[in-house]
Amino acid sequence: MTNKTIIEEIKAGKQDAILMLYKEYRDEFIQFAQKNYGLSREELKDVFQDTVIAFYENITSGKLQYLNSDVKTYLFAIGKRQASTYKKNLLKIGNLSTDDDIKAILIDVAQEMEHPNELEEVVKKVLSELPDQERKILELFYYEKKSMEEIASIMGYANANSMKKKKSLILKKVGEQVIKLSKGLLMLLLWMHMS
Amino acid sequence: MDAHELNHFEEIERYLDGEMTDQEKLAFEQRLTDEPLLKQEFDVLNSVVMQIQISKREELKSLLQKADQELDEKPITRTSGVRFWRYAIAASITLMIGLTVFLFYNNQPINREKLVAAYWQKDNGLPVLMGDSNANLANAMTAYKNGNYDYAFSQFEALQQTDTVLYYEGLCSFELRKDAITFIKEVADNNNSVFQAKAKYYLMLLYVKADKKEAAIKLLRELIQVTDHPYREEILKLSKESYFANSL
Repeated sequence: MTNKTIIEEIKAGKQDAILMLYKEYRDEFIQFAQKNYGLSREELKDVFQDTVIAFYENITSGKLQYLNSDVKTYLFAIGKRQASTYKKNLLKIGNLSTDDDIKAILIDVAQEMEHPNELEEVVKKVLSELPDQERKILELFYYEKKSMEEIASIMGYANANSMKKKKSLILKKVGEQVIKLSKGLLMLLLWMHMS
Repeated sequence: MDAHELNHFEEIERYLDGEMTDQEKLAFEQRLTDEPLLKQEFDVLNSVVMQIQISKREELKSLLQKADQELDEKPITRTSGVRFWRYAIAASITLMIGLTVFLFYNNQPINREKLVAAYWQKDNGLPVLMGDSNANLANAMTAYKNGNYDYAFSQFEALQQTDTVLYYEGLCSFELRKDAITFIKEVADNNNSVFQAKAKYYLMLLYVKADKKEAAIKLLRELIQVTDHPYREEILKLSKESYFANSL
């Protein structure tokens, strides 16, 4: 596959393209990075997954329009950054040893146990119950960062304006549904905030 | 807040969609700290937008993790003709031996205990800090972590029976070879517990151990659907074990 077709496939939202890239370069990347970053094979799989996802996002969002090098060079360049960030974070975790750090973590754990991300759970539920077409519109806008013109043409809407109205309606509907389902929780959070 | 209404929807949407000027943004952010009701609506819509991104990323991630399984299952071998035949003969002999062994053992009752032990994951417990406000919980947790299950269990038993406590009572009971199902089931059925996903996994293994095969199968089917389960790898591996053969 040439650079151009890879970019076009990804732009068209075809996930097979990144699957192919991942399969093709994973082991080579692991071999290269094991020497240079001292991370384990399992850790590097994780790193390379995030690398390929970052590459995908760069293209869908239009940040990356064309490649002036081959895909592998570009992927490995992202991968190097990801690996070194990963490594730094690992070192940071190892350093979380002051009493304050541990206290903060314990507070988080306690809060998590009291309110296990209830808002997040409600949001997940509401989104999962949304009709596929509507969820797709939100994904195209908020994840793939496509313009309203592009989304209108993908989804078969007359123009960007009517697409934008539709997107607003969906977002509003989701927000209202979340509020409806998590009313008790929101009242509690509000009360905590005000007191 | 009025009946499920978003009173500030338009401005929040403009902020989230990046349509505000820098000046508008600053003013809006100031209002977020001053107006709790606005902040609350903002939190809801912001978490919707974040969740869309997170879910999509998780979807891609699990797609790539599936590719890992494929890649790691079949190492690429490029063998020359002669070597190929050598491997082929060796493989068929191994296969014959394997088949004999398999047929022999397949007639034996499957050792469920061993199967459960192989898949049981050690839960590392919650972090404990000196001077922890809940000294009794900390005490019980330390005992659990040190493998002092008998003492840990008696300490947990004295505490208020929250889902956390029940969960660790169950894990202690398993280690002590006592009935753990009662404790773990209660957590597995609790939709509000952060331990629910793990508890379901343990409960499924406990059913295997007790040879409640139908209950185990039912739970395992459910677990297979959970792509972000902390024990995802084990679940997939376990589903291929002969104990579950042809029943999933």
